[in-house]
Amino acid sequence: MVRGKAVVLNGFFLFAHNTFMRTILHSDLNNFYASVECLRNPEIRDKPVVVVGSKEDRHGIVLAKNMIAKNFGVKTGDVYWEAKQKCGNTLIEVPADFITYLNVSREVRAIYGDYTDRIEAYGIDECWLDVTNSVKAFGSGKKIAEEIRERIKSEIGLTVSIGVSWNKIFAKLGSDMKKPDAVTEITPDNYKQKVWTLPVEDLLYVGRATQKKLNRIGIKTIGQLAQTDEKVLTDLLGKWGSYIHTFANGRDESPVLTVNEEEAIKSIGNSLTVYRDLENDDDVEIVIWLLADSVASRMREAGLNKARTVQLYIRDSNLLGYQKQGKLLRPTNNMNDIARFAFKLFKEIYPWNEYVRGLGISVTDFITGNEQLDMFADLAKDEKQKRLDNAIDKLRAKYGNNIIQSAVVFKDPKLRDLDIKGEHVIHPYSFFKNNK
Amino acid sequence: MNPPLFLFKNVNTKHMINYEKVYVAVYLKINTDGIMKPVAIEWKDGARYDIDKVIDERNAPPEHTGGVLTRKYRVIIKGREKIIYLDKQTNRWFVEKPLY
Repeated sequence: MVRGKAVVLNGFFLFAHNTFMRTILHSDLNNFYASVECLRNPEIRDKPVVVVGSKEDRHGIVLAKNMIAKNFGVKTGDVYWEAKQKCGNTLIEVPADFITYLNVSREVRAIYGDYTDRIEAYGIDECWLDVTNSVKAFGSGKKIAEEIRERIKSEIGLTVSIGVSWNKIFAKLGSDMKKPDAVTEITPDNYKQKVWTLPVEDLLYVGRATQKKLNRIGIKTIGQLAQTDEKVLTDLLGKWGSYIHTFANGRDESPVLTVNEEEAIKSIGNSLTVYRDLENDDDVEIVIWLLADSVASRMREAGLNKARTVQLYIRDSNLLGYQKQGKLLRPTNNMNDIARFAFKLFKEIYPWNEYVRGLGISVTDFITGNEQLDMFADLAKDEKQKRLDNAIDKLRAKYGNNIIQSAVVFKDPKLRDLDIKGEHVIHPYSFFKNNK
Repeated sequence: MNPPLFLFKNVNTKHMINYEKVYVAVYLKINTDGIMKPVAIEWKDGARYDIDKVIDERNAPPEHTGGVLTRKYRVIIKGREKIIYLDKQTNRWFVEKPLY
């Protein structure tokens, strides 16, 4: 968005910039996974559709849903049977096909690439685009947004909602305002009506805890937040108070980074709700090995570097959650290291008051660049392990994931048959990466 | 007895026809610049139909059936316009056959 007077100079139109403003788009593919599945299979388009990890043995969770399922009250993160209860027998469940989603996402990105090279992926289905420098060539930010929306619809067959504004935060708010298949522009002239009237929790980085704190001092809308003295907010929330005050006033200046879909993957994880309650350490160990195996092989598949941190989630039979994370002594992409470490975490935190219903492992904090060599590392052993992992990956690519497994999982034949590598948990990078 | 549907002006019978995806074999020409062009399609029974001209090609989803990441080719076969699709993920070609 360039605000200023157009002046004629030597026959050319030029803009006299009195204030320089960026033009930022935030594009959000509507119900991405479910929309791709409906595109692939149009017969299910008029029915409630959920995309799940796997529905057998009650461990599938809803990764995405279409509008119809949403109207039935299905939420992302519901367990499959919960969704089934809400929608009844008409519910269609589709296993997630992550490779296709990533391919579609790349194709959409190619369309964005015709307008700008400043594209920051936020997860697999959302992107910020900085089109400041293309506005002159294409007309206006809104025009570019409309063109992108039309093209994604006609070339890919998906709908997007796009927000246009002068900063990333308002652009994201704009894309959430009208869904699906719409463009919303937030300008310095209309943001007070459009943004300031929204509830404060709609602002990026105002979570439930922050919302409660703000509500307690009478801040219910983004407008009220913007007009509150910054000092009050920093006293209440620390440095976050100052950030969200900046956001609410449209003064966010964080740049649109060049981040692609693969880089936008912050952590890789697998979780599993088990077909029976786990009653002792041995049971838990089996599941941890299964999960670690799947996480490690997916890390290698995605070509990610070694990770430094392992997180463990536990859900007991009262659905109470436990969580612990720890830093590994040495970064790894190996199943043994991940499993041993996760089991250690489990023993540290779980009190065994109840049986265990679900477990999840994720790795995060991937190293970038070259790994620093450890004085005590056994390089020969590492090399051997790498060759073993390669051989296992090749076997699995050829004969399926369950062709080779660690011995510990053979203690329970039913668990052994689970193929959990299909369940994907992907988290976008924090908004604050490199920004603040 | 109900009157036949075509007597109603606003009933578009085109939507009532179901279509089926039929995969076909395709002869391709790849020129010296590496650009690919279909030159003929071959039906399951071995019948070969030459493509006289490719009018247009673009990324687009199939009109009547399902498909993700497809490329749509408008072609002339025996003087009539036909549409064939390429599934870019699997490299398979298909046509949409109406089921009457």
